[in-house]
Amino acid sequence: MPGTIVPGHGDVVDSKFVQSQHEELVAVADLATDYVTGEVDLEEAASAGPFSDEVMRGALLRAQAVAT
Amino acid sequence: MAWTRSLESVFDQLAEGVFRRRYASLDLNVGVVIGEDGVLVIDTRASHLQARELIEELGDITSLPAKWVVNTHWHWDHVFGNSRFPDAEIWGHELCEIAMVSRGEEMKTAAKEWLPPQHHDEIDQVEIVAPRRTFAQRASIAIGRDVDLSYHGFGHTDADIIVSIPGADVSFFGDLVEAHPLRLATAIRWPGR
Repeated sequence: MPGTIVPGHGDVVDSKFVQSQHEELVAVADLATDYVTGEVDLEEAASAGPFSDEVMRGALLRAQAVAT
Repeated sequence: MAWTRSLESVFDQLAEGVFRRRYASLDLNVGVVIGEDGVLVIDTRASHLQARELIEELGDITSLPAKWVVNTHWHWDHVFGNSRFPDAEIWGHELCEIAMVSRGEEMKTAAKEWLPPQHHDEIDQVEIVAPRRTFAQRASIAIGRDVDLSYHGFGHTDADIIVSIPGADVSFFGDLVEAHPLRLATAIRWPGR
């Protein structure tokens, strides 16, 4: 991965930031899968995620909309 | 928030011939790569008026014309300035072209939902111009140096691409990376998961 990464918005970041954000997104994706398949309910999945409950709920509901 | 003025903004040189400008408006980053007889512009801002400003500002760093444009994805804040580059090859992922051709007017509605009313007329006046130089997985643009484009699957949208400049140690990731709260439309299909 390159040393300097320009995102679409905001500060230039480094590969460590991108790796960290990727790990957060994978965690959200795994929780979204659990939610969409009915293994956990919305609040359980939201509270287990790496972001605020509000952000998590939005992500989970959008994942459900995509999956159905 | 300033819309078309970027008084505090300048082009930052990130590597030899590679620049980015961070705009107050939407906190958007635009990239510029200087080629042999022209420059490549990465994303064109959120309207034709914003793009006109960008083109004027290019004169701060080069006298060469903008001969190539790359759209990192199809969201309005990155592509609505495309019409101001009529002589440039516009590159993007093949799904970016499809989205812009089929849903360009819907994108204006999305932009107006996001923006305050004083910008709605300007958005209505935007001419939707989609990329015509498209690809599925990888492409390389020869501008006197290589600029590589790559697609990695669903991410922020279905059409996000990474723009890399070999040897420069700089890449432009578009909205695949954001230092902002996330807009996860397609988390389940995130690349590399």
